[in-house]
Amino acid sequence: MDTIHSKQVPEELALYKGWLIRTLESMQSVIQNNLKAINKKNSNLYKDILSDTELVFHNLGLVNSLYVPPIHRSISSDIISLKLLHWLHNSNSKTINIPFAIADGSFGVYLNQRTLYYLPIVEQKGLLFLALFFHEFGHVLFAIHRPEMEQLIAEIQLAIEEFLRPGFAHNDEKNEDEWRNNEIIVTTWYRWALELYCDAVGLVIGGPAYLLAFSNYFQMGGRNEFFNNKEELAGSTHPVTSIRLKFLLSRARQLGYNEISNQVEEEWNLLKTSYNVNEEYFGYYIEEYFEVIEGVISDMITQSFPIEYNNSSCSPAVLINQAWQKFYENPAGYPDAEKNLVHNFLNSSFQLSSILS
Amino acid sequence: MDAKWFSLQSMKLNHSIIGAINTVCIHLKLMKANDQPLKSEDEIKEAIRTIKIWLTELDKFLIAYEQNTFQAITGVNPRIQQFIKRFSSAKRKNEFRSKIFHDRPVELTLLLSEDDPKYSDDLINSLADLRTLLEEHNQSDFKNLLPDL
Repeated sequence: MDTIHSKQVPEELALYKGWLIRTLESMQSVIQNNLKAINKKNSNLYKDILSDTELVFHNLGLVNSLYVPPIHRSISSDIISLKLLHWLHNSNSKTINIPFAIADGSFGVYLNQRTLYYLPIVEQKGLLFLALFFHEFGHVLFAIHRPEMEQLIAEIQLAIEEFLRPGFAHNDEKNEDEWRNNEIIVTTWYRWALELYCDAVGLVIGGPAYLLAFSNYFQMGGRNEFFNNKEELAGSTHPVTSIRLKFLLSRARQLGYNEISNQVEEEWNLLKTSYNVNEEYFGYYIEEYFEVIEGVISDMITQSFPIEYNNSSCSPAVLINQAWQKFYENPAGYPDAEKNLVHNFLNSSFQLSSILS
Repeated sequence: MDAKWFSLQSMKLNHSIIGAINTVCIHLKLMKANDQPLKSEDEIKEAIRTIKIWLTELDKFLIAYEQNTFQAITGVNPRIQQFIKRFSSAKRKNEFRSKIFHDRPVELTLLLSEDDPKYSDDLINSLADLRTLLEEHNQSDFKNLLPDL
């Protein structure tokens, strides 16, 4: 506890640090309460006390391995990411008081009463891929609107179940296998729908930069970005990238990002041709699903109202879009251009407090 | 986002329910022994409320699942779905003797009165059995998040 108390952190981490200290204090209080219970010397209570102690042990394990490192590792170069996340959390009245921090690792988010955003070390050094945080913020929005969101996901699952339903039912082993397979597909779609929603959130908040970051991040992933075998698809956490891209491109065009969408589509078509890959998804996805899924994802966006990208405003989302623009204009000169963008972001009239007000 | 996210979500839920069960069980046992409570009335009411809400949810999903075990339970985190299946299987195989595994989970809420939580062996035994299943589920989430040495 002293280590955390004494650690100096940027103001954006103050909420998180406060939460961490309160969590440790509450664990201390549970331990003290359990000691009082033991002192009652009532053997009927021992199982309950043991169970309570196990909870503290598990929580301490999580705190030690997941929640303390972001405070312990806090470094000055996090500042851009922290300002971006601060802006995101302040963009919504329901996320404004959720503590957050950054940890090293593949892109991702851990969410409980606080949010841990994971960011690969290389990507921490630049602006371009910070756009992927917008997707992760989608997970936060999902969590705070969970009941409505799960109802909407159920709509997708039920529609897919209907598509998959055998034409007629008969009691044989083949039919049972088919039902089991369909159950796995429908269950898998809970996670897939969540990810497609987060992609849509990424695009709504980040504009073209999200599409470019997404495309560049996955482009060199190989054949697996187009094709997974049936066993890999079962229970997978994410749709195959080519499916995600279909939905992203469609929404990007609806938002008016036609030129960039065409460019991204062309690049992926070239890859598909060179891999000579057959897009077979074994019932996990067919074109007939598209309309219903896209409609429900739009409803989920309406329900959670992420802040919309506006290139005439001054925001971290605009900053990242400027970075992508500079990168495409002159890749060789990009490192210097990025330094200037960051410098201006931190020192110019662009002050976080002004965007928040 | 990976499977660990779902484990963390599942663990958060399990912890709140297991903690609530512990609070209620300790309170009921102290009452039985005519001993002073360890937690405030508000804390105990909150624990009862947590368990009631969760039992009602569990009941709803269990009915949906047991109507057709071939169909997916829609709109539910897959980890919760796994718990529902495990609960149903424990019921079918008579793994536990308490009331909750022989009646519907929602019946247990009737024994939990927020204003006057009466002692009942049925209630304590049911909560203890339920906790055993939750702890089993919790262990697997914990191992998924923090693998063994």
